[in-house]
Amino acid sequence: MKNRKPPYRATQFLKWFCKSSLFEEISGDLEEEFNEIRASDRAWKSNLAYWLLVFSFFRPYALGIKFKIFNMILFKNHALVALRMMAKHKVFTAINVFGLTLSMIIGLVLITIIIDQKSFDKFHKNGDRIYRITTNSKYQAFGPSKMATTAIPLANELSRDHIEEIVRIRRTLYTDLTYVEEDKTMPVFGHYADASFFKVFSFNMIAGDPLRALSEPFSLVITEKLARKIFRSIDVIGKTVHLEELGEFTITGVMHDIPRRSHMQFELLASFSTVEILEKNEVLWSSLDNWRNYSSSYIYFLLEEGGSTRSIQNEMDQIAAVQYARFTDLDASFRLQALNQIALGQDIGNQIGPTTEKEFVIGISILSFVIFLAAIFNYTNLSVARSLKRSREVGLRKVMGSTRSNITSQFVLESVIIAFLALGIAMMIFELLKPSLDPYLPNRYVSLQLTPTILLAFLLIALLAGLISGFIPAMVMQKVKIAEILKGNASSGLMKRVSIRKGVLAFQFTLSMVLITVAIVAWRQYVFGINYDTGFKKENIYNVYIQGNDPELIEARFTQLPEVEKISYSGFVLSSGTIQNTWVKLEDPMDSMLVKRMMVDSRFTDVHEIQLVAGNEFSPTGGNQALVNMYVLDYFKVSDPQEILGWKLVTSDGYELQIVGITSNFFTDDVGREQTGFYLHYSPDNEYGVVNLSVNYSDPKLLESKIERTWLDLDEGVHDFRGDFFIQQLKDSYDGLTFVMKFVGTFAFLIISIATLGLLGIVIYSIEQRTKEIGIRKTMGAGDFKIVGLLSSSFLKLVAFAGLIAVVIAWLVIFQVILPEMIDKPDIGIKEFILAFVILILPAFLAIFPMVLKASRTNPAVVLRNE
Amino acid sequence: MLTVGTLYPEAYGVSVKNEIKNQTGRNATLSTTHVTLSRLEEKGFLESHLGDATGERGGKRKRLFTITASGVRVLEDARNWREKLWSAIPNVALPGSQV
Repeated sequence: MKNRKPPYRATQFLKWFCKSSLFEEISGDLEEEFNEIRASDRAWKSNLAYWLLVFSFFRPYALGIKFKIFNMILFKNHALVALRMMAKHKVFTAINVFGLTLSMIIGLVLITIIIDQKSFDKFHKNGDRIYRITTNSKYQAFGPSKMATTAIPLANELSRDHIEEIVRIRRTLYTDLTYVEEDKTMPVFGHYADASFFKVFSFNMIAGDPLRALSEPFSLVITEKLARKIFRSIDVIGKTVHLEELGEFTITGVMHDIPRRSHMQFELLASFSTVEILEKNEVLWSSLDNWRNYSSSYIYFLLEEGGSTRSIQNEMDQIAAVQYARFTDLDASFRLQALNQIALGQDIGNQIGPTTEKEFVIGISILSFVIFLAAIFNYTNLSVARSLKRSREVGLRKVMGSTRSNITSQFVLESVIIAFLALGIAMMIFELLKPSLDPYLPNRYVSLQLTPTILLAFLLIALLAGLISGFIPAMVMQKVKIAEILKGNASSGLMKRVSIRKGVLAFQFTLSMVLITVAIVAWRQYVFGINYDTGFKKENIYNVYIQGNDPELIEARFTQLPEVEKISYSGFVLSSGTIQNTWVKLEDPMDSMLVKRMMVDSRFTDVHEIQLVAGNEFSPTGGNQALVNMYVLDYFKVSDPQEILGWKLVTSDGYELQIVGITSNFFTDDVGREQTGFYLHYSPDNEYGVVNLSVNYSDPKLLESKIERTWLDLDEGVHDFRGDFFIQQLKDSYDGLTFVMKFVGTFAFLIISIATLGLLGIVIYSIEQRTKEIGIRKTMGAGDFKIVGLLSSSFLKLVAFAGLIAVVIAWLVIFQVILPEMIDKPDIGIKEFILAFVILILPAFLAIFPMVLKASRTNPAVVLRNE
Repeated sequence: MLTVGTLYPEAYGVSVKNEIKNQTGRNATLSTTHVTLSRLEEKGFLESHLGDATGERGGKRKRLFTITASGVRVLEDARNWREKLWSAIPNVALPGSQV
């Protein structure tokens, strides 16, 4: 038979890992083996066998690593014992693994989010020198607010000593783009930016000159994706497009799509030089010289190499002091925010893109850390309890000459194995759960991907957890006195453990209690808010977003639907989170007041059944009119509503409106926020964003599809349909609350599980300790029932004790900390606490009673046999 | 160790492994055999040297093992206790034995 050579690659592999002095003899033997096999088997089989053989040599012997022999063997022995222990006490192991797994899953979610967010914006070459200017402002009696935007004039005021490049970005370009030549229209989203944009940020251009593309007014740089969407090509420099209400723009560049990991997301950039023209033509709100407007634009800059942020901060402070001294009702100051602090950063308003708030993350981290601790506590408790059962084994080992380190390593090894097992299961569950976690993510740009770094981090954590929770039982066992153990007295030194266990349980219960009550409060608030008498009609109204279409066309089409009874228009959806502010003053020179307002048509009050305290509704021929609410009266210190009728309301954006009526203080913002001055704004040149349909229907789904079809028809496929029942929109604006509910509820559930498991463990252990006692009592004539009573009384005392502490602390937390923070408090009383208490205690009972019942039925003969 | 003795003078990885399989029915892996032989050598019970190169192994020499004096002593000791213990067992305790 032809002498085939063994697979070359396998031998190369061997050569690589094998110690050189051993290579010759090993490979020689291997080759001989190979020939043997080859003689009687097929080619692929013998090749495979050869590979396997090579792998079997991948061990310390060939690698040249010297383990001290006795370590290896003992290690294996310990590992085997650990595994056997785990199999023998399946319940204990399951409990521990479950608890650890839970906390690890949360940890995994958390850490993936954090690491993902932290990796944002890393692609900017000069990222560590990029900063953005934020504004802290305070207007009148309103609380201070922090914004990511700032006053634009600041950019020109700052000296360039420490600034290499500065870029102004004005928001927001959100309009319809039409490519006239092919009659294509689509909604687009972006900003205006200075030509220095590409010098500061590392967004790459595919076509066009990055330094000049944004210099001329009415220039546009679009992303590759948008280019293909509109033109089906990227060779588009020089083409013209029309932006609704803004004018004709020329494409001067095409850039790469924005990576997901960027806090800035947009489809196009228009040149900042356009802004001046647009503001002059009053298409955009004045911002260029306006220090009072710090909401329209962002300023980012690139720090000089070695430049000092401190001197820039000083400069900004000086400028702010000068500029804002002129105003009595407004004060502002500026701060710097580094680029890498943005994606996962402070809770500030007007963000340029989706971010995750640090507070949110910190909050969850604390919670998950607590759960983790709870799980580890449990584990330690249970291990100690269980190891005392093994005290005989330990005693024996000591007598045989185990060193301290051997005993320790035994325990540590076991808990490390459990920790890794928990980690493995946690990862599997994590992968399975990922899709359903999407709604809970802070924004849609976060991804839950397990990277090698994360895996490594978790392996370390598991290792640490195992080590820590293994050491404690090990230390307890050290102190075990050998003689006592072999004689059969197992409980020395355990008494101290009991109060610690009680404390741990109380702690876990308290935590659960607080969380449950918070969840209940949130739920109450939600129900309360939904059903609150808002002062306007919510039912049977369907709102549809106009998105630039002709209101008259919309009205014509919708009135054709039989279900539609009345129609009105509004600027946005009332009381659902969107607000519009403006400063107003009366004719008489007085301080101006910041009020909220909404542009509506003359039928709005009728459709929404808003009550008038005095005066009349809007008259379509009456010119600019306003309906103010009672708060406005209060502010201007007008006591008689009739008095204010006929006066003129002057707004800071240039309107003069005649006050024709006074409305009740109906709700204009979320329930739970302070309600303030508000007026309904009627003007012949009003711009509306929403059409309100007052409907009469029997089948909501049918109605909705009819409305949607009507829309798609008149919109001609340019925009996606956006509309919903008013009630649903109001409910959605409570998203925050439902989120809190679900979230806190989940955590509460987790902690209760862990607490109950811990309790279960204690119960099992105590019962086992007392089996002898039970046996004796039974022979002495105690009935089953009495045994149950005896056993459960001690547990009930424990649970009651822990529960009581929990209730007290939860009460304090709710009433001292949380409720005072809320404006419209729901009615929280004893009922809610009792409910929470029951939810807390029920699982505990369910855990205790079956065990106790089982114990009470033990056969004394079996138990006392060995005495 | 005993197999090393029986295979003298051609006791090396592959032959020892095969012999163990033939004599005891145990399926020894080549790598385990190597490791054990090496450990025994470290303990001083075996010594080894590289043999001549042969064509059938692609020119690679094999490492041949022989028993050392202390190795012999250990083997003899083991055989002695065994015989002692055996002879101390009363016939009644070994039903069906041919000894």
